[in-house]
Amino acid sequence: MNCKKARKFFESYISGDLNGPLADRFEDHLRHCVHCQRALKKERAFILNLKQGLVLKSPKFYPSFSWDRVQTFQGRKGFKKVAPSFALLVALCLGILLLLSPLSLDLIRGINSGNIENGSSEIVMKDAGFPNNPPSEEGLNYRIAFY
Amino acid sequence: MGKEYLLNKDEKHSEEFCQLVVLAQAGDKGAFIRIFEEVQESLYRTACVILENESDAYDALQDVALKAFKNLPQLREPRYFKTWVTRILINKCCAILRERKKLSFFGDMNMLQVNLRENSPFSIGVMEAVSRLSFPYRTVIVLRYLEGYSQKEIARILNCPLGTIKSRLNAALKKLKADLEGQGLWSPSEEEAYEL
Repeated sequence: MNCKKARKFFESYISGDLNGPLADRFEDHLRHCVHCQRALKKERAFILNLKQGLVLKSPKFYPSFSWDRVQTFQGRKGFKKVAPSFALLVALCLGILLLLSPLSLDLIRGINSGNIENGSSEIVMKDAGFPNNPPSEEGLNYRIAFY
Repeated sequence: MGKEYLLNKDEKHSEEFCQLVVLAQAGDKGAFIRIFEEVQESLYRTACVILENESDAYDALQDVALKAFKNLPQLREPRYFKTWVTRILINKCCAILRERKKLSFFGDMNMLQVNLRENSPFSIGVMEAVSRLSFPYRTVIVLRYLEGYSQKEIARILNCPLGTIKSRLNAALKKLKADLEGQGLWSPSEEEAYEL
């Protein structure tokens, strides 16, 4: 280890974060290098003064810190509060799926065709805008099939 | 009698503290207030030095408290609460500084100097020199020498490799030394240097 490399480890060594084989090599270098020993002393003195210079008193606002926003926070809901709305959503989706499913569509078509057979042809003809004189039976059957 | 602290001197959270964190994760606001109060002063000091403004630091702390409570269930290890909440604070400070840059606003070092424990020229000089550092260097100096985090803990807070933190610390110390020597506040002779 040379002096240039050793100086990179000054801070780690002073703060006690340098250990293992690297620490052994560093200490070995220090034993033989007077320049690095002096430089390490200066670095240690500087860091000590820096720590003393950075000390702050207790801040002024500190005692009046407001917990209102945390106390009134409602956002994080538990499962028990979320479950009913989730269940409603699921039921709604299932209902829509059921309505649009082929089975239900067949059922609706079946109901419609049953109504026509039962003689609601007048309603169909009026809705379709037929004149007062209805067409022949063949024509009616054609129109019913179309609808 | 002093306040009973849940945090040990070596900053490892006690069993009681971890239990309170778990309660807070379940939604207990009282437990959250208690654990946040343990770290509040440290967070406030950090924010003050990074933002150079007490009222901005106070606002940042309010936002951090709410965000920490909202996201607390995401914390997997209760013993890392302080490290985790410090990371939220650093990110918040970064956002505030970015916003300030747009508005060309600078911090108020005079307000901060009032709160120095020692009003010596060296302390004032140190604070001014720290304020002249860029955000990455200022953050590592504050976390290391004001709050006493180890290099590993700083790497965890800032989500950086350990090597990056070491090189930032070395570079920041070099800049600070040069700044203080320029101000005439630092130039130790061999006799003044402390013994190993």
